[in-house]
Amino acid sequence: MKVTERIPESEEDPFDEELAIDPQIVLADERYEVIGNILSDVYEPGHGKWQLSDMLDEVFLHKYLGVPIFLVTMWAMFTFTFEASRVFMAMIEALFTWLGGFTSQIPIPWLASLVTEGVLGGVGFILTFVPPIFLLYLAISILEDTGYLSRAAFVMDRWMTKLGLHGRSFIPLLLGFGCSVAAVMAARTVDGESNRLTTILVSPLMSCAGRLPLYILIAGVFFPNLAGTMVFLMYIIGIIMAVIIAMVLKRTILQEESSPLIMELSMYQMPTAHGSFRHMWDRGVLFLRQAGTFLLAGGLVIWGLSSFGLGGYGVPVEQSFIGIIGTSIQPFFAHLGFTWHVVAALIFGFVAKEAVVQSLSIIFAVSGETAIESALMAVLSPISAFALMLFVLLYVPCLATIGAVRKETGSWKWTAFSVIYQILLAYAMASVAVFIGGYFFG
Amino acid sequence: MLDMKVRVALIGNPNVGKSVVFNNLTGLKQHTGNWPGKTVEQKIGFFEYKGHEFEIVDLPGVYSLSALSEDERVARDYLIHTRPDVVVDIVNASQIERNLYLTLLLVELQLNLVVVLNMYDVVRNRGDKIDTDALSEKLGVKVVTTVATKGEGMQDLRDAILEAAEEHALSKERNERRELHLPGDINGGDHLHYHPRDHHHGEYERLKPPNVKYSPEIERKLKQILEILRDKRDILDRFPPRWLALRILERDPEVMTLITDPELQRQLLEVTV
Repeated sequence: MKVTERIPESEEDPFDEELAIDPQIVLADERYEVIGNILSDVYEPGHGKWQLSDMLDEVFLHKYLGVPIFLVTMWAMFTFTFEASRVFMAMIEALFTWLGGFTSQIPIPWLASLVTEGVLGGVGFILTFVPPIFLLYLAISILEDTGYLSRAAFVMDRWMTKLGLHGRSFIPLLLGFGCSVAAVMAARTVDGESNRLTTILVSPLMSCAGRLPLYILIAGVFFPNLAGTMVFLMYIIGIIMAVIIAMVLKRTILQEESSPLIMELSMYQMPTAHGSFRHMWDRGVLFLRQAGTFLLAGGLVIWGLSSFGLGGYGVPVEQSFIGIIGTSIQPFFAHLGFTWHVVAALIFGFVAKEAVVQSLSIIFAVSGETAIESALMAVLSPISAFALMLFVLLYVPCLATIGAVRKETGSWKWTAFSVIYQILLAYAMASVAVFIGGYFFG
Repeated sequence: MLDMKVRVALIGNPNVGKSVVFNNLTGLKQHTGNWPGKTVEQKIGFFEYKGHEFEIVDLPGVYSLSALSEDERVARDYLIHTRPDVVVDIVNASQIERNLYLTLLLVELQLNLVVVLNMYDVVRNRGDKIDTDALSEKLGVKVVTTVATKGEGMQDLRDAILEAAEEHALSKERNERRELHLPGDINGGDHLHYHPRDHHHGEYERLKPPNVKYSPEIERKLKQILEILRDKRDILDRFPPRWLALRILERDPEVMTLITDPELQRQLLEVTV
C-alpha cells in the first residue's frame, strides 16, 4: 500500500462534506466510549487515592471551563508582566536619563547627539523593556514547567479541530509567544505537508516578545488603567487571527485531512526556582544580545538618517532622510492617523519589531522632544494608537522570520505570499479598527 | 502443530516500556536494521520457548494507525500485509484509558492479540486494580500484567504468546471449507477472511469474530459498505473486511485511493456516519 495524494478533486469534491462532521472524530469518540464502558467494569479504583494531578486536570481540561481558565491565566500573566515590571522600567529609564545628562554635555554637538539620542535614546530606551520581557519569559517558563502549557495546547486543540485545523499546530503557535522564528522552525513537527505550510504561514501572527515593547509603551501611555488587559488583548487577537487565517487557507488553497492530537501529558510538577529562572535567562539573554548588536547598529543608522538630510547634518528632522521617507509614504496611512514619525518607525520595524519603539524614541529625541510619552500623546489619538498596536501585531515580525519562512517552505513564492498577506492583513485590520473606533468614539 | 517459526510483533504507544519487554524476551539474540526503504529503525529478535522458535519484530511506538506519519505507516503495513501470528500490544497500565485506543485499533484488525499491562506496579501503588480476566473477556484477547523493568510477568507473557500461537495454528487447521467465506457477513464474522500479501504461510486465514462491536448504527453502516463491495474481490481479499469497512467509513485517505471506480466511490461515499 502506498501513500498517495488525495483522490483527484472533481467539481463536486466528495471530501468537502467531511468538513461538516469528521467521521474520524465520530469513530474516535465511539472508541473512547467503548473504552470507557470496558474500564468502568474492569478498573477498580482504590479508595481515597485521587491524585492531585488528576484532580487538577479534571478542572483545567474541563470541556467548558478549560478555555476560560486558559484565557484568565493568560490575562493574569500579562497583567503581572506589566504591573510588576513598571518599577524596574522606571529605574532603568532614570539611569539612562541620568547618563544622558552627562553625554549631552559632550562639547562636540554631533557626538553629543549621537551618543545621547542615537545610543542612549535608541538602545537605552529598548533596554527599559528588559524587565517586562524577562518577566513574561519567567511567567511562560513557570507555566511550562508546571505542565500547564501542554495542557493549554490540549484544551485549545479541541476547538481548533472543531474549526478544521490541525491540533498539533498549536504547539508551534505557543512557541510563537516567545519568538516567531522558533515557531516557524517548530512547524516541522506538524504532520502533513499542507498542515505544516499552514502553520508556517500563520505562526508569525502570534505575538512574539519583540512586539511587547511597543504594546507596553502604547498601552502605558494611552490606556494606563487597562494596560495589562490591552497587552493581553493583542495576544488574543493574534491567536484569533492565526486561527481565522489558517481556516481560510485550509478551506481554499491548502486542504488536507487533519489528524487527532494525542500528546503525552506528564504529571503536574512544582516548578523549581532554579529551572524557571534558568529558562527565563536563556531566552531573555537572546534579547539582550540582540539589543547589544544589531539594535545598537540599527540605532546608529536611524540616528544618522534622522540627523542628516539633503542639506547635511543638522537639518530639521522633517527634512532629514528619515523624514523624507516617512513623509512620502505617510499618505497611505493618513486615514489611520499615523504621522510620518510612526510610518518611518514602521518601516524600520521590518528589520525587527523592537526597532519600531527604538526608531520612535530616536526620532522624537532628535526632534528635541524630551519625553517620548508626551510626544506620542501629541501625535496619536487613542484610536490610532490602538490601530498602531494592531498593525505591529500583524505585519511581518522581522527579517529573521522571513528568512526562516524561506528556509522552511523552500519557496520564494510562499515567502512572498507570507510577507504580502501579513502586510495586507495588518493594513486592513488597522483600518477596520480606526473605522469602528471612529464610529463609536470619534 | 507449530511446525514453523512463530512470528510475533511487538507494538504499543511510545514510552510504555516496549524495548524493555523486547530485550527481556530476546536477550542478546537480536539485530537492528531499517525497515525497507524507510528511515524507521527495525529491530528483530529471536527466542526459543518450550521447544518452539519465535521471531519478534519490534514495531515503532505509535498512538494510532492512521498512516499519517512514517512510524504509523510502517506498523500498519506490517500488521496488514505480513499478518504476524501473534501481536503483543504493550499497554502502559497506569495510562490504560489512552493506551487502549491503540488496542481497539488492533482489535479492529482482528489480530491474534496478547495485551500486556505493563508498569502494573504503578497501578498497584495507586491502590487500584484491573480485573484482567474481565478485560480479557471483553476484548477477546489474552491479557497479562507485567513490570518489565523488574522482569516481573515475563514468564506469563511467554506462556500467553505460546498459547495464542497454538490456538492460531489450530484455527487455521479447521479452516477447510472455503466455499463458506462470504464477505459482508458481519454477524457470522467467523467466515471473514483475507489474504495477507506477504504472509509467510501463504494461506487464507480464518478470522475470529471481533469481540468489540461499536454502536448498532455504525455496525449497520459497516455491513452496508461490505454489501456494496460484495464482488470487489481485488479489494476485499487484501484486508480484513471489517477493518476495510471501518477505514472506508472513516474516509481513510490511503484506503480511499484504492477505490478508483467513480461509481463505486460514489456509492461508498453515500454511507456516512
